[in-house]
Amino acid sequence: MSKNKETFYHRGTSYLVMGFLSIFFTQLILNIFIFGYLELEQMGGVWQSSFTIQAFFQENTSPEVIEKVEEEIEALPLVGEVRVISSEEAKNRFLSYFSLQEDNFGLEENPFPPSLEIRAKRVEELPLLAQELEKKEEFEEIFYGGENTEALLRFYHFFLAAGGILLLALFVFSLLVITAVIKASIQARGIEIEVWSLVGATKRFIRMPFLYQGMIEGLSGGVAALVVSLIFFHFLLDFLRTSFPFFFWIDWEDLVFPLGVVSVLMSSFLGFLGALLACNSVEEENIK
Amino acid sequence: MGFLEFKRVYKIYPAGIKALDNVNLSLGKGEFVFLWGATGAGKTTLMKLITREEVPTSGEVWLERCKISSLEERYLPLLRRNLGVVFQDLKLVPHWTVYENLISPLLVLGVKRRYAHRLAGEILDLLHLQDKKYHKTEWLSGGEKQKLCLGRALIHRPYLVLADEPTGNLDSATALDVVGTLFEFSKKSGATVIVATHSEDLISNFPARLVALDKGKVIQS
Repeated sequence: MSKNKETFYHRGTSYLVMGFLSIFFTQLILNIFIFGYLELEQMGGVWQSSFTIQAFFQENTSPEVIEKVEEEIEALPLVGEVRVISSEEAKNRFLSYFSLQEDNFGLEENPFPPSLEIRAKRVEELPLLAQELEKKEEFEEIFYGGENTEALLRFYHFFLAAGGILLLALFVFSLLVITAVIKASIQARGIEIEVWSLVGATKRFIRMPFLYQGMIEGLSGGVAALVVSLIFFHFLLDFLRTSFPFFFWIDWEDLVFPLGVVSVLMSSFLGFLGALLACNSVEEENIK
Repeated sequence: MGFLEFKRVYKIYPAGIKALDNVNLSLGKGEFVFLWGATGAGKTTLMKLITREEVPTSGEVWLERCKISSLEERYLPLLRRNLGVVFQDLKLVPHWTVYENLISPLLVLGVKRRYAHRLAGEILDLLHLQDKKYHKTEWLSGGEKQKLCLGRALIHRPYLVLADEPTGNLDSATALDVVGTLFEFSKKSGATVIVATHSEDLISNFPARLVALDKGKVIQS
């Protein structure tokens, strides 16, 4: 048994349980936020495939010009995918949409101009890309859903921003809790710290068990929260899929990796940082 | 310059209490010294200046040509690792076992476990505490705690041992035994030992130098 382990085993279990529980619940809430965020990302992905920019060419634009513009647009950094819709294909789409036959069309000339169907790399970049395309003279009109899309994007941004602020607040809150718990644990062990200091222990030697404590509490709290979250989301997603089958739910398997990484790394870091802050705060009082 | 030197040392506590008043003292290497004085004479303060739990209000304290009175905080562990201290209030961790309290200075020094185990065995034999090795310290009697504190002060073979009233809670036979152990240690290892006491009977039993303190002043050295 190493010296640090030896001192660690003398810790009060009540403080260990308190530290563990504070990280466990924090991580649990954090995992719910991560689930929400990933679900939002999933929706964003669906939006991305649903919302495209339609850029209609001027009348009588030659196929050479269309090809050249297509290449130019493909080279833009915001662009994910570009597809040329010919006048003929546009007409067929129209007929198909209204379940009409060619004979019922009623017009001799095809009124649909050729267009480009453009998808942005990220859905929130759609308006920016549309602005960019509006500068091109070859286009008669740019259409990307306008206000509806922007309203959806505003909601998307709001949700992400609110989620980010809440996550930050949660992180700070849990840091304060773990710091307070470890600080109480250190203060309760004042006599040990004093003895270590008087027999010549360095500050690093004295701190080390508390830093281990913080990390182990964080890690164990994080792993426990991960297990509970994964079980919970497994049943939740089953229920949601049955109740709302047409909605785009994230796969449970896709949750395992991000939740695992965040739970292990974040909770260990949180525990370590909390212990470090606690050590700094009581150092002057106990370590002479 | 002596092994341990006090030069014009004053210690005045914030309330204005003068604990040490112009102390000038020089001790040689390997000396066994009784620091005698009544309660409040300044014995504990003098010890605390050596362990650097306190710093003098003015004056200098030198140990082996190192001015410990102004030693930087980061070097304090190095100083304390070379000292063995029997504290007046013992400073044992009650929920640790006898063995754990005993080997704490060795853990700090990074001594290998097997070697630490052997040294602990020798000390426990010397102090007749072998059968209490894994007992919690809080279960020990006052005398056993005192012996344990003595063992912890000697286990890492320090070159300076400070014992602040090490016989305070002991009957006269055990007190003689404890001080005898310190005396033997000094002779065998060549360590300097300072025993603070107010017992004149104890002093008369050992051929040692006497430094007497009264109201913070050295009245005999």
